[in-house]
Order: sequence, then structure tokens, then C-alpha cells
Amino acid sequence: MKLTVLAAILTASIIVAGCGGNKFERPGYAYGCPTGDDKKIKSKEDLIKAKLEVAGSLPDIDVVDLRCSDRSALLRVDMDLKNDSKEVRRIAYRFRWLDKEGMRAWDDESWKPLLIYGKTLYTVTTMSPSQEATDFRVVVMDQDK
Amino acid sequence: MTQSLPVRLASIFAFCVAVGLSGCASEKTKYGDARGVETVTNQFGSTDLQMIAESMTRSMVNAPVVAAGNLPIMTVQEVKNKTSEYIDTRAITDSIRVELQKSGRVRFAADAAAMDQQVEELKRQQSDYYDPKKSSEIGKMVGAAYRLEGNISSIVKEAKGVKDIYYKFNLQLWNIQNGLLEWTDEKEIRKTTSKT
Repeated sequence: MKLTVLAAILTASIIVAGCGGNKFERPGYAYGCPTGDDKKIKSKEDLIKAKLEVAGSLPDIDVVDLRCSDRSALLRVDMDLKNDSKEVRRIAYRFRWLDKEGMRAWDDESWKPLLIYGKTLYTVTTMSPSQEATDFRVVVMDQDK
Repeated sequence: MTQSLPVRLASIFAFCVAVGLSGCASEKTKYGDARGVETVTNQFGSTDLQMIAESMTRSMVNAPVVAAGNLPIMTVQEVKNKTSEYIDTRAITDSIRVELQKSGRVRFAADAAAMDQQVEELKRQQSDYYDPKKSSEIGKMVGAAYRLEGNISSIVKEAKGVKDIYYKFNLQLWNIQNGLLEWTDEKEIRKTTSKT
């Protein structure tokens, strides 16, 4: 009997923990990332679509995950890029920082060249440059052309 | 005075040749993206400078002494160039200082390079031309609590038409009072050029 109750509590805890990521999200945030008034973001794919801008075409490279967290009143962003081809790919990326009203909060960042080996995942990590920069877009472009 | 036909034809021919030659040597100037990826040569370039400044700044604002929010006062010291090429390291530290100052998380005291002008201006304001009540007083300057210093080094290798350059930029934040290293980070860059 005791064992059954214990198992039930454990199962319930796991379910609650599993759903907790999105259930207790702050208003204007999805998956830890700022979304402003965008109500269309229902999944991680929607979030990536809302935050990613591809300059030109970018074959074989996918943004597969985006994670955000607050660090010392600044926004930390982790972006996972996957190279689906067997070849080494060279891309460049930069972040655009926006304030809470959607206005530009920082000067243009430099384009950062990045090499991604074939069939691998690479995580780009960055911090917002100031407390005013509360939202972002990430721009990615091909460098192999 | 009228010229004969052969002379006129020769003059027209010479003019056309001159126009043609000047056309061959024409140059085109375009504005580019100051923040674009620059790969004109494999020497230290604008992209390297910008990446280093950005990487160091974003890392430093997370350091406990900066993240605490007490607006620590810093001064910029020398970044030693240990590479084999000429690099204006002052341009790197200037960019780092700009980004840090704009972040609103630190303040900068006059560094050694700015000291002469600072002292000169203070002395000037003590002259009879200025209202003493509205002049800056001598002896009120604020000293920095932390100093930034660093170095940039490189490893260059060349073989069979391939040139590889590895840069390593290291920056350190030292506590002037107690000599403790409060934060340090480094940025690595590899550039390879091959002859095709």
C-alpha cells in the first residue's frame, strides 16, 4: 500500500516538474526568453522563428534550440546551431538588442565568423550589453559563398 | 592660327588614347559594412578587434566586482603586443572602454595617457581668468580601484602555401588596493590562408 502511494506521489512530481518549464512563465516570456506582446509563440519552434533572422539563404544550418536566463540583471542567451551537412560550414552571426518597447537598445554588433564541423552542434553564448537591452533578434548568414 | 589636317588628327588620336588609358586606371570606391567580416588578409583586422572587445566586455560585466552594481572605478593600462606584427592595442582597449562605459556598469578614471591633459586643464582653471567658485579644485580627483591590463600573443605557422595564425588576447582586472586578480578572460582567434 505504502509503496503504491509513494509511486503515485513520485509520478505526480515528475509530471509537474516536466510541465513546470512553461506553466510558471512570466508574462511576456516564453521558455525563459522575452517575447513582448507576441502571443503566437506556443512552442520552441515558434520562439526560434520569432527570434531568428536569416540573411539570404543558409542551407544545412539550423537553429535547433534557444535558451535564455537572467544573470545579474542582464540577459544570457544560448543558441544551438546544427550543421546537417557532412562538410565544414562557415557562417556569421550577430545579435540585435532591443529595449522593452522594441526600440534599438545597442549599436550594431560586429558580425562574428563561426566554423561548424559537419554533423555537429555548436552552442553560441552571449550576454546582453546593458540592462536596457531586454529583448533580442539573432541574425545568421552564410559565409561559404 | 589653323592647324593642318594631319596635326589635327594626331591631336584627336592622342586625346582618345589619353582618355582610354585613364579609363583603364579608374578606381571605384564604395562604402562597406564597418561591422562586416573582413578577410582581405590574414593579419590582425577590424573583425578581430571588434570580436575581442565585444567578447571581453560581455564577460567582464558578469564578473562579481562589476555585477555587484557598485559602479567600480577602473583605469586602463597597457595591453602588451607580443605578436610579430604591428597591432594598435590602444584601439582594442579604447573599444573595450567604450562598451563598458556604455553598459553603465563601470566608471573610468583618467589613465596615464590622459593624465597630462587632465592636470593641464586643472592648472589652467586655477588661473586668474576663471571664477574660483566655478573652477575644478586641485586634489579632488578620484583614483581607480581596479586596473585593466592584458596582452595579445600569436603563433604563426606557414607551410606548403598555407599560413596559419593563432591569436590569443588575454585581459585581466586587478584590484589596485590588495593586488588580487578579480577577473580574467581570453579570446582565441584562428585564421588560415591557403593559396589556391
